[in-house]
Amino acid sequence: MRLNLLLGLFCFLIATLSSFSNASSLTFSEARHLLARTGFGVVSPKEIEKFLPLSYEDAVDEILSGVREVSVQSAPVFKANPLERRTVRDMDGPTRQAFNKRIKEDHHTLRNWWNREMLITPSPFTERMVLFWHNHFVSEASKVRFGKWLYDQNVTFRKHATGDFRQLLTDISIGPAMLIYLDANKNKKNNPNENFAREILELFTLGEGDQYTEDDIRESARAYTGWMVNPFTAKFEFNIRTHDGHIKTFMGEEGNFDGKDIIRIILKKPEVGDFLALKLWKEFISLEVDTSEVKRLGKILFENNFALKPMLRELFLTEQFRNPQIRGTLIKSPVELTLGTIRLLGNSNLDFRRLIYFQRSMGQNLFQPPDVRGWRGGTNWITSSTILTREKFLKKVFQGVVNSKINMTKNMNRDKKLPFMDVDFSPLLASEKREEGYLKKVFLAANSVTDKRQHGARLKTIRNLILDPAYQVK
Amino acid sequence: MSNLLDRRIFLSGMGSGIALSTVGLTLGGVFNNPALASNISPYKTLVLLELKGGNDGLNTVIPFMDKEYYSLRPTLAVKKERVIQLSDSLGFNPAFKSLLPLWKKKELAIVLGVGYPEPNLSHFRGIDIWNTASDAQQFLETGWISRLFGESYPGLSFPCDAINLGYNLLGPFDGGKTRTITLGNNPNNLLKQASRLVPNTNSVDNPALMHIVKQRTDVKSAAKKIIENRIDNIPNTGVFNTTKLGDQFETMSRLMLAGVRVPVIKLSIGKFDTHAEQEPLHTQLLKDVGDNIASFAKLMNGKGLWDDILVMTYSEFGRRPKENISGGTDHGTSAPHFFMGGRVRGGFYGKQPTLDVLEDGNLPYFQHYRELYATVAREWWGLRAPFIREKAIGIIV
Repeated sequence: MRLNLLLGLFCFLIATLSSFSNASSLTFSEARHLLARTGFGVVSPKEIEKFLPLSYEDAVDEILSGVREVSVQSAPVFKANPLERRTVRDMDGPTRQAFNKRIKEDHHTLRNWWNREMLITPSPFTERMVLFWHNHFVSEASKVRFGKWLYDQNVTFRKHATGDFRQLLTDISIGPAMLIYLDANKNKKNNPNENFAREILELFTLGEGDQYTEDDIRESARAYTGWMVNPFTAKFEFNIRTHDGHIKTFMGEEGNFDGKDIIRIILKKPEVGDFLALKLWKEFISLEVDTSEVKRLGKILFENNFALKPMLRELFLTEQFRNPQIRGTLIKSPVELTLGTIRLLGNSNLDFRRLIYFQRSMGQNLFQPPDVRGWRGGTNWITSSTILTREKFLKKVFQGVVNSKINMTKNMNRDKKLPFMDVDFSPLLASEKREEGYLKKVFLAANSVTDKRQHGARLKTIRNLILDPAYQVK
Repeated sequence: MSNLLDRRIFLSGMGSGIALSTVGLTLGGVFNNPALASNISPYKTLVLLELKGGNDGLNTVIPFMDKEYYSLRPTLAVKKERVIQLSDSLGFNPAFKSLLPLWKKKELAIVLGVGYPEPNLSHFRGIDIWNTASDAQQFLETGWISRLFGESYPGLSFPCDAINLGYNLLGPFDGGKTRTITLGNNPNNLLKQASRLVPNTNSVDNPALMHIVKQRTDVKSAAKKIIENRIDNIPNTGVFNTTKLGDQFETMSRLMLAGVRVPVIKLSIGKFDTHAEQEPLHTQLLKDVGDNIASFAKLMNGKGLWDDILVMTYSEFGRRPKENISGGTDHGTSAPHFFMGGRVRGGFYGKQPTLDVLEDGNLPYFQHYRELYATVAREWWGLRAPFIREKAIGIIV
């Protein structure tokens, strides 16, 4: 006891000293903003307090240097093997049914796995970037089918999450998930399929506009011919026999190009930097765009040969990101809303099936974006139906929290209880008791919309806070 | 309590001759309130059906006399003897068999060659253009229904202005003041939950939060009115396909049967982006569309509601006439679209593009897509809006 007290005093002293010695250290609300925006929209006071001694710049570097290239968990085990793809055509009814069932179970396994990863990761920003790339290089489980392939793609997203975009683009383009999803696997000489050729320009690198022509799409589709998934290895292969070996003209260059040549030519355009900078701006800062700042960030990306980190660092250092006016102006995605809340409140009876059901009803079923353009985000997240589902979810989480508090001793050793779950509210409530309005500071990034009581050291305060529409924004 | 149908009150000839209406006796006070006057009759519901992904027009309405069709589509062409012939040169894909009775009753209009100049072959830009009624080089954010209702507001007597039953984007209803609610398969539970929402009390100043607050307010007020119609008393009709689209038709029908009247209801069906292995998928999609529309028409007809309904299809683009080697078709340009309803004057409108003069391998267009909107605005609702410069086609009786 006495030791604790001493330790507490010591910490207090250090904190006080550092806040005096370093005039530019973070304020509570700055730290909250930075962590919430680079994480899951809301963040626990414990996390915030860890960052308080840092200067803003150091805090950004701390987040960036914490980025992981591999997951915390090991790979899930899948029931369907991509080598089976070859045999699907010849399966009889019952075999095919059983196969489809295994495919579906694998999707479920994968969704569980990623949700759990997002919950336990020490680097929320890593997973936010993985999610960003998942929504940039879209593929849908319903078409790709094999969980293993979707998982491999997810691993690639993480490997290059804040690394080298050139490598990311290449690795994703020749990954089985993408080859299948955008029909590159079916793109053969004499009669090319333009699906991938169009989307790599429109969605992955340059954006719809006057940067390329329909001819560029047709010509590059010819260049990608020969890319395929070898049915006997279930891996990428360049098949020279189906490749169109004639001269192509692409973006003013002429040559006997293959797919990698096309990627190289696309990435000669500085506009690719601008395109990505704009998308990241909208993801992390605001839907209102400062064009000259975006151009500056795009240039940083381009001039660093598409290394992402220097540009991301600048992004979080922009005046616009730091401007208190932008707080509470972005709508949390369903993944952010659900996982952020669970990370903050804990829920000892977390049922992943329910979690995924809720995410889907809110319009975000992981590995199943609505189409090749991905989730549109922004205000599109909120319709009358999704806002109701969101509020229902929050009520359920809160009920779970309350129940688990009651049944704490009974359920303590249930294996359902995950290691990250911390349902002890006493520190939160104690802080509120010490400083009225503390909880509101933690939970809300915008002024509250309802007039339900949102202060006072009682559980009901937390309920009123998460059920306020202001909790939907970050 | 009076019975369901009696609860509708319809008055006409008020003031300027605009129909004034309300739903539910409990709103008796509205007669003195000009803000509640309707610009749109409650008996004029538009049903928008989006064929998402770009429907292959050439395999929907088939030019079975055109040799080019068969040479451009060695594997995908529908053989002449299988085509449901509607004229001496055009016919339905056999998957549309269930629509034949509507065609024969002259309640189905086919508008041929619908498109616009400088067509955009991107899904997303393409549908943005259709959704906002813009030109190819014009970038707008407000949906065309919202733009139209911005010019002449339907009136507050409706529980809401639009119901979205399809996927989660507002599309034509986006932006503006349009009160849109999105409902799923179980509208009753959702509405009950909505009626219990904690009201918004404080004013908000950022657009994200304003959007959230508006959605909550709109669904709460719609829920109160719609719940009075007791949709929970309307059993499932069970006449629709057990598909996502069938479910949407089911919900829409139950709303209609309960006496819920709104100006627009939007449905959608996806997977039309048939780059590879188009068959048998495309046939299944058309069958889903055709069967559900036919069942809907029959059901509504039986209840005397078919005259109150106008169904319109649309899609971001058609597909390329020449098939690709993957047994699919790539993004194209113009395509036929359909109007159906009790007041539709059936038949062909516009002109079928011939396949010998393609532009860059794609079809030219003959009817501007905004002519469809002009038809809806002027002929169906009697509304005008300067942004729809095109003429109405003359389809509504």
